Amino acid sequence: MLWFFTAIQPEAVPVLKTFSMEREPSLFGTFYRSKEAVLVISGSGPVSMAAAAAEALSRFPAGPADIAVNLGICGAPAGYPYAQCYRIHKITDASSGRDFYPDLLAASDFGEAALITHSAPCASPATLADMEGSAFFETVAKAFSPDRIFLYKIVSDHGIEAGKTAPSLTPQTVTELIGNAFGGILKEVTAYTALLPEEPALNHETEAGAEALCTLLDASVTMRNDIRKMLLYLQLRDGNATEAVQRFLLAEGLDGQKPLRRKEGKLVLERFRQYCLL
Amino acid sequence: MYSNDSGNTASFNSSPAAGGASLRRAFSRVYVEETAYAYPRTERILEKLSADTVIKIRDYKNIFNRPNQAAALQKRAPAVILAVLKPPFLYPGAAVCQDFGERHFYYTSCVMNCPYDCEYCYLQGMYPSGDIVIFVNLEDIFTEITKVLTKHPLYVCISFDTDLPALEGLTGFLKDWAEFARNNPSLLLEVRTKSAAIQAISALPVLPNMILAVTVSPEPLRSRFEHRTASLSDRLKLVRTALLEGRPVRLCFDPMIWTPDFETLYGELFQTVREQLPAGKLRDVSVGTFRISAEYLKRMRKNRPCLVTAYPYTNQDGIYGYEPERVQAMLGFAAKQLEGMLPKEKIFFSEDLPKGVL
Repeated sequence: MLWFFTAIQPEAVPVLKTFSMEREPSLFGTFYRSKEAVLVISGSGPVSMAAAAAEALSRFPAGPADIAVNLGICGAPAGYPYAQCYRIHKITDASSGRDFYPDLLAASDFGEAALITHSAPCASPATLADMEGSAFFETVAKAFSPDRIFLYKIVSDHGIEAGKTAPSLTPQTVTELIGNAFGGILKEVTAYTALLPEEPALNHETEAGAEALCTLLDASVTMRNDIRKMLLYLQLRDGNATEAVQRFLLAEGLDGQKPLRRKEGKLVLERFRQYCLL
Repeated sequence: MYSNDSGNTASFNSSPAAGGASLRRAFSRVYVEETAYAYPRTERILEKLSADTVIKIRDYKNIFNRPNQAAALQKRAPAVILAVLKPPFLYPGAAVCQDFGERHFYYTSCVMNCPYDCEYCYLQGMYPSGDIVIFVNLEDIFTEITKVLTKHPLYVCISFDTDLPALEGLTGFLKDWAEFARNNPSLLLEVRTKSAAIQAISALPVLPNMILAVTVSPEPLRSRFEHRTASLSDRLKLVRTALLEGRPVRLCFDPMIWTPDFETLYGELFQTVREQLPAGKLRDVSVGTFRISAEYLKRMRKNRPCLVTAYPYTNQDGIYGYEPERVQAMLGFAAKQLEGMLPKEKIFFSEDLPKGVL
């Protein structure tokens, strides 16, 4: 599942166009959801982002392979071209001085930059500047590992020259800026999920064997954990734990037997452990 | 910049996965503590790395200690963190490690983490990250050791939590340690490795107080579990070269891993060692079975189950290991294989053997 977090509606339009999403009720910000994605439009500023992100995470639990992406426009000093998209490798919260570091493990076609998050628009940014990044990271880091948190910022302005008014962006321009980069961003974050290691697990057959053994031995929680560990060992060793379990049960005369009492189950479990060590 | 055999760099696995994603190049990202820039080593290492991205940080722990890191992926494409080590600089040697009869057994970590990726390595249970931290202030460690040496001799293992010979091309640390050891004869150093860094070792002065400790495993187990390390034959080549140069060399059959064909695999290993090494010239040999703290094993099983860590070990006083009978059988087998290769007082076992076995 991909989770997109934006501050304002125009930034979210490319996401809405890509995924068929339905509106979800929310207290903070605006939520959309589909089978493949969650979209949180938080509102501007760190407090709005933190509140909306926290609510979304409590309402829709994040899975171990989910990715969180903050998409948005930013200000930048001269030297960072207009409309250029950057992957962020360091976020500094201007008010607290705290730094946050996404773990960018995948290779990328995007350039990288540091970001400073302010609570108000910044007139003269020293590096890329926005108003939500640090709050986004600090909040979603409760549910996402640092390698599954991405921030992509697209340069929309270079601050305000002294004496001049702030340049105004139209919603259409913002959507266009995000949209031009979104294809590459989506490809990149989707591809990253292919690199994530598979969850260590018993395969389907072994899982069934574990359950059957737990039932037979009237396994307590501790016994259940031990059984699963031993079957994982057999699965890693032999590729298939089920055969070993069946051989053991046959040798014990327990094949097809009704469940034992726990006291006897513990004794059988110890014998099974010795059997695994052969 | 790091080697698994003489001068050849091993390749990290960054090849594209399905969907076109590939990992960043190993060592392409460097984090540098602001205070580390004051040390000349920092600039030297940065030049060698030619990193794609250099990021200034305040404290290496902000990167290294991030919660829930994807350490297994990081091991395939590690970042480097250049930092300044703060006290303590010396730690008493762990109980699970052999002290070889040395009274004042300590270790130090001038580098945290290893460029190799052994599936059963305790570092995966100890460290939250697969990135490599290089501490650029070796002189502070030397100062601490010098102070302690005024009270008593020291035996210090400097390559426990890393593989310094494998990283010598990048860090140059062994040259600095060798110079320090040369000027401090009451200091005994152990440099442990799974590399075949012949050039790096041969460039060092031959010192009686700098032991090269080479870990060996049967080649089938090495290729199965010890990713990117030097082959058995290349490691034995390093040992032969070091012995010819007159260096004190320790051969480590530790950890020995049990498999159903243990005696076949390890029998072949000992036979190969007998045939290829002048074993009598070894300083000593260490033999031990796989053992690890319960805390580390729990983490390793959760984050990266493998055949070695998944074994149903026995917990004795917070240390997981094979059942006592199996340990005795494995050590006893090794003892028989080593009989006649070198004097028994030069063979150190991780546990006492029954009388009469050796």
